[in-house]
Amino acid sequence: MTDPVRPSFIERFAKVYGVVLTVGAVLSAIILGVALITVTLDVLLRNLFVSGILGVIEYTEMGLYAATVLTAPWLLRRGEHIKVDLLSQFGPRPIARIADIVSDVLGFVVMAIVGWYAFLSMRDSYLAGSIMRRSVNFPEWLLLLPLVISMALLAGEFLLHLRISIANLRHPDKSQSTA
Amino acid sequence: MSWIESLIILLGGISVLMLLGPPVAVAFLAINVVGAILYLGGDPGLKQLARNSVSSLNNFSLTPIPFFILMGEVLFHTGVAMKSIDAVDRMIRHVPGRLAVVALVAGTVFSAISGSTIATTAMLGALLLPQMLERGYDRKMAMGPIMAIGGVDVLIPPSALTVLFGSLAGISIADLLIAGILPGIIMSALFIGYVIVRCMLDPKLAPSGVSNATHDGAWTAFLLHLGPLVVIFTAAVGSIVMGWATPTESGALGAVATMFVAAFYGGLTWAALKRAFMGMVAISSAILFILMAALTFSQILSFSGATDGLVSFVQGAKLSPTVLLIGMLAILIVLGFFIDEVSIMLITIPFFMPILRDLNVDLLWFGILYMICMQVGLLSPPFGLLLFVMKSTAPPDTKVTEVWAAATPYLVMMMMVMTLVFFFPWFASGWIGK
Repeated sequence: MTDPVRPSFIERFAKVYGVVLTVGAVLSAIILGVALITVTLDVLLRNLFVSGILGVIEYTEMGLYAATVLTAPWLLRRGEHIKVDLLSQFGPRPIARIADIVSDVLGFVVMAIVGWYAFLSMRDSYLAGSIMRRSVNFPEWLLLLPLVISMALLAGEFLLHLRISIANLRHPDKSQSTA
Repeated sequence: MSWIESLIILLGGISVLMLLGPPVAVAFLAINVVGAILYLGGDPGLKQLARNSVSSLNNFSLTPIPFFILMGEVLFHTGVAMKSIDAVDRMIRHVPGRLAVVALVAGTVFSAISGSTIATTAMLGALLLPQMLERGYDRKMAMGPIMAIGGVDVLIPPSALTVLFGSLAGISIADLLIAGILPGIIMSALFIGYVIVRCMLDPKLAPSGVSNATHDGAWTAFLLHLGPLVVIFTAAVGSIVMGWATPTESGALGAVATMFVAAFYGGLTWAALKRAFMGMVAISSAILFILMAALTFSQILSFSGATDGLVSFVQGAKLSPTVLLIGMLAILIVLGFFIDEVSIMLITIPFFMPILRDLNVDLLWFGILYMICMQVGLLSPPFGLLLFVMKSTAPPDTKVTEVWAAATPYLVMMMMVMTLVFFFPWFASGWIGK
């Protein structure tokens, strides 16, 4: 039984985990902010001094992708991922709670699978020394790294949320926020 | 495995998973995992799935999405948007449902620079929806016009999607851009007319927030507070017209211009900027995370033979050209439930164009129908992507059924315009003499 005064280890862990997720979102905002400044400077330099910033398209593309996947776990914590909430709205309450558990398990399994294969792809790319050759060359493993981090964080967050969903099923009168 | 079985597994699977209620992106990723195992050879397919997730978003043409959202967030959090909307409000204070009308007019104007239906919906959602709800607008009345404006978005030039379609289909881009203007204006007028009539019949749908305000000084307020929007639009559009920036880059210029304007009006505080940037990452990530999974889903659909099988089935059914055309348009609408516009184009154009050329169909006319059809799909309940975009920008307690109900009247009007163009090709290609 959880002590209402002293938060349990898992609750404290969930809090720290939340800070990590927030760091990911703040990092994403910084990445997109840098992309915004870089693209603007590139346009100005290109028009005023003939040549712009080398690789601005590649850096911006990578930044957009990294920002998206690094923000995703934070969105999950805040319950801001887009969902079709038909069952939770119209379904019987117990069925909706079971669906919550199924969703969490599904989320954990899918994120773990995609994350694991992203990690394997990253390892293969690293060992093979694969390079993405465009106007600026990137090591391919570096491109896969944000996906691996994101999937790992998402899998962890789904597990933490599963705890809440199970508690809500067991004690419907003390329902916690599923956000 | 037959294409029908693949279609049932993939489309049926995604439908069931979505209804269970996980994040939409998770549902797509789950089916992608199943698809990778079934159609892409297991382990290698799953590794490819991971790589595809990266390449889906490594796309420069998607960068306007966060930047346009940032424009809306900065305008909203710095108070500039509120002043502009108030100014328009005072000018058209006798028009019923005027903020919904403002949304439609702003969307029509904004569509001229965004080229991305999703970005336009996200920006207007972030900018106008909170204002309308704050003033007591009915949620459906507030959300509907913002989602619907996407239909006008692709038709009124310059639209990046139209350019993409023209280049992929081998149709004159200039003709396509011009041909879209008349159907776009008709659609916009229908939407505005609908809003006005609905709000006249039921004033509770859109309470008049400034009913006591006088018209005195309305022109001054209009010029003073609408000036910022004009400056921003000029920065974004002017950079394209002058050839300084691509439409994609103009998103960044527009966002920077927005920040300068907000600073000029004294609204650009550190707190407002922080909220704007966090709002940008939240909304754009919610949209792009789905896009990441949906693009891979469309590739698996194609690889499984489901897309090809569906199109071959339509082609080989020995149907009359009219029925065949209706079949194609139906496919576009169905694909639009699940897939973004770019993917739809990439999947269908290689199959559609040979059939259409064989049938001697007016390609310009079909192009306009194609663009409208995709928007119908994007707006169609239960899975149209625009509905999810709106859900992500709407208040958290907004029910998905409210979003569906908000979209439905506009969906009907879009289909009316589609029917008009279908039976009277003059409205697409005739009026420009083609």
